[in-house]
Amino acid sequence: MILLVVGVFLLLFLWEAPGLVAKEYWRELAVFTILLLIGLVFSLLLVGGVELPYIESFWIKVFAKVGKALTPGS
Amino acid sequence: MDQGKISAGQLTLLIMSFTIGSWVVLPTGIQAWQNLWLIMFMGLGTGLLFAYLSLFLFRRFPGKTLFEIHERVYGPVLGKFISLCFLWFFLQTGGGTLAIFKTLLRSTVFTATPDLAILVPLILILVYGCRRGIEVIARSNQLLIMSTVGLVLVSILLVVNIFNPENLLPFFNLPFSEVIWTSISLAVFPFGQNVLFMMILPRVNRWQKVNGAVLKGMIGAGLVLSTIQFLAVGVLGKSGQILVFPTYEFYRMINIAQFLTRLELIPLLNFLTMGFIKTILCLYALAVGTAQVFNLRTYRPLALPFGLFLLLVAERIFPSISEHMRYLEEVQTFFGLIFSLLLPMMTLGIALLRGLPRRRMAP
Repeated sequence: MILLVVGVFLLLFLWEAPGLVAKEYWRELAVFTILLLIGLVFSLLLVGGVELPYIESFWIKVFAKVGKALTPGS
Repeated sequence: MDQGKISAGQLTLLIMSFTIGSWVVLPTGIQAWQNLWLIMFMGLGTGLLFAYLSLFLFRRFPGKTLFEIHERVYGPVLGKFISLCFLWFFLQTGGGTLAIFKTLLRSTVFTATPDLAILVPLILILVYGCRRGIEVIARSNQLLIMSTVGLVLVSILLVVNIFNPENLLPFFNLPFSEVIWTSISLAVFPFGQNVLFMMILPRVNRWQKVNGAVLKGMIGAGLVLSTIQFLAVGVLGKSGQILVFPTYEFYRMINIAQFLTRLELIPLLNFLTMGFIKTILCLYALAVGTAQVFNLRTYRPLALPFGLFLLLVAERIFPSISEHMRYLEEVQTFFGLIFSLLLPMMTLGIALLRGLPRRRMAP
């Protein structure tokens, strides 16, 4: 599965990058590559079964105290 | 960058679709269920105040996106940092919308289908649409929003035999503080999320008409949402409050002479298109915004990685729909207020204090 994910990301890179190189869009290529690498890392973590935190659960913890103080009736 | 232009009318329709978005299937303020259709108008009024605050900022910097305004008002470093915070807001909004529709589809129609089989085709279409530019998105939306409004109008006729006006009574049987709180939460979501259009307004061909277009779009969306909520309460009664997807359930109850039944798939697909437009606008704002933060010449290569990010966020935004409902109740209003009111207000305040823009810019 990990190989499959790496292969898909490689295909996506090969699909986009040559056009950017041909137009000499180096800055665009750099940002695209960095974003794709971030996506690859998170995808591999998910595929590898690493328990990443849930975004809204994180915010619930952060805002819980503020919410309780400001919500009427609490 | 995208050179496409849209008309004020197209902007109105985009705002309608974006606002209807995911709220139509999973409403907030469910604790005020019976009166939600009335409180919607108070939320709309407050949401319009938020919108006009942002529009006032836009009119001071005509032709500039929110991120360009940030850089002018705060300087390059702080400006980029605030823009990055907004990028997170757009990512979470888009990913959340995808996650809601994925959950809806998985719990109703595609019960045995893996998440990726639902999300990957959707992401591919989103990326393709985003790369084609705002003109193509706006033109696609024209047909989709018309069919949704048409569906809502037809729904009024379809529910005549199961609609019980007594279900709507009593009016305002809530503490006043709860009415105010619900209206603020409605002003933030769905109406406040329209701050995203600050990234799209410079693409309107006649920016002088932007104020009217925003007003019409938000009022149109408010009317559609209020009508659907009105019908849902009239059909489902108080029991609608305990349902996760009340709109879907109320369409399920339509039964015309044992002949027209099980119609829920039509609105399901229709509302899915509203979620699609909301997500594609988030993706567009993400790609264009990032391109502006990093001074890129084109946003198009970024559509694909951000499509992947949306997919990842949709997978990891909430563990269950009950956790998401808890988030809507406890966090959404505070979180949304930061982006739809506080940050634009702060930007406007600092721009006024600094006397910006110093020279009148050409539109």
